Amino acid sequence: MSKEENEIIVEVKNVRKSFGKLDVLKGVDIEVRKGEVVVILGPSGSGKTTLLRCLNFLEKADSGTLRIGDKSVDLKKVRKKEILELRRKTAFVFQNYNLFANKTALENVTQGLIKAQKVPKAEVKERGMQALEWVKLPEKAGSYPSQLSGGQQQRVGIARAVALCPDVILFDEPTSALDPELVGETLELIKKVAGTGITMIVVTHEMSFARDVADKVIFMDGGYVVEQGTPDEIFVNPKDDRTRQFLSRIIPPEYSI
Amino acid sequence: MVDWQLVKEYFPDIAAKFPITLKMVIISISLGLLLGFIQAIIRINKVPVLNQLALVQISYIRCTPVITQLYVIYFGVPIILSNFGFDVGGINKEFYAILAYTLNQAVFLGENIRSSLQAVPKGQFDAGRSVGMTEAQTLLSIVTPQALYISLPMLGTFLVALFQGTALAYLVGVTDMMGKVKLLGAKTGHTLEGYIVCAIIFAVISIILEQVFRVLNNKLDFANKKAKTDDNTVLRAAGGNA
Repeated sequence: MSKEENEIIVEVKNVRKSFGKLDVLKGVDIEVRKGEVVVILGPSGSGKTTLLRCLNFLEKADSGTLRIGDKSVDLKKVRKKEILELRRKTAFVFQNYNLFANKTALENVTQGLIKAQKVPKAEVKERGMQALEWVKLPEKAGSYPSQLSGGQQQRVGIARAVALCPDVILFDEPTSALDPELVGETLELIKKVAGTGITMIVVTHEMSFARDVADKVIFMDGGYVVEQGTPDEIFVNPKDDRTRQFLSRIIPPEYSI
Repeated sequence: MVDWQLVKEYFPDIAAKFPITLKMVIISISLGLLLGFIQAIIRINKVPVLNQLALVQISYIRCTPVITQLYVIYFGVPIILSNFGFDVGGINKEFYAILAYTLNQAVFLGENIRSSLQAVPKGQFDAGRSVGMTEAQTLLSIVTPQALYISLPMLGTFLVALFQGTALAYLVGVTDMMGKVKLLGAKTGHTLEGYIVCAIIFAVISIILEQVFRVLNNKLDFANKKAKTDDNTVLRAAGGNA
């Protein structure tokens, strides 16, 4: 694919993070090219979510460097202003949606446009409605999150991320909290996001999604990146024992390729 | 026997002092909210030194009767002020009452604000930051409105309690409604009628306040709000795939 020649838009080097005595990230390096869909796999506690949260400073990494686009920082001494600048290059889709409970679906989508991007008022609503139409929920524009189903909330969550037009969208297990019936439609929507050519980093346990959509799969365990490569490389010919072990447990033999 | 005629006669005189009660309540609750908010931020962020001071103040206010706090301020503050060379003779008695009630309210409201802010799910902060808002913007437009809703029932209770609590202010010489009853009683020898007037006024206003808070509570309840349907969005939705 031509994405291999694209510029590297996200570059993480030697990122470390510990919570008290617990080392969660022990020196992680990843590179993401523009337009790539990168899926991060790994068992619970492997640090995938923490890594994702460090990328937009929901968690502050202890050390390492991070570059998004043309902005690069040393995570040890990053300043508040730089955090805001980098964060505004990203958007985040949460496992539990985290829609603003006191805002309607439309307001959820437009909040960041108004407050962070200072988009003119007349344009904001247009863009908000466009995003909601894109996720097929325009009729719920005036509804509050509590009036939406989990699947609908996550679609609003995705609309909120897409509307920001970020350099990269970070998905943190976007379907884990959904009931099985809704997982499919949400994954379809995420594929649709991928189809727009936006750069995405997705933490998920949906193996079929990883196989179908990912340009690159990263397998993490114990705070390290154990192995990375194309879906074929990871799923068909995993080199590392740990990857093989993980995949054999998560994909029942009769379904594996 | 209760002289109902006297109740009627007293009413205008006593009701005329209601603005003094109102003034004490409004100033104390407003300043209390402001100081309480600061206290909450200090407590949540565990600001060194200030947090410890706040804890001392909280235990003092929580563990002593309001009337004691009132007297400590009334007798203590003039001594402190005159040590700094202030002329305390000209200070209105209401000042001491308002100061005492403000400090009292600040503690209770502060703890209420703190617990309400902390009751807002952490994910709401995360979401605010994730769309690029600053901490202050997130606090102001996302977290505070939700915390306000959580704190509202307690806020209503505190307000009613404060309103009734100001009845003690006459003990430091404020001529509020209660003070007026005492004066009338001294003049005419009939006190009960005056207190009945006070009871009626306090009860009616308290009931009104409770109702106001009930309405506010329903208004702010984003979990049960009616969906917003302004013309434009409905129009667009009708054209979209519903």
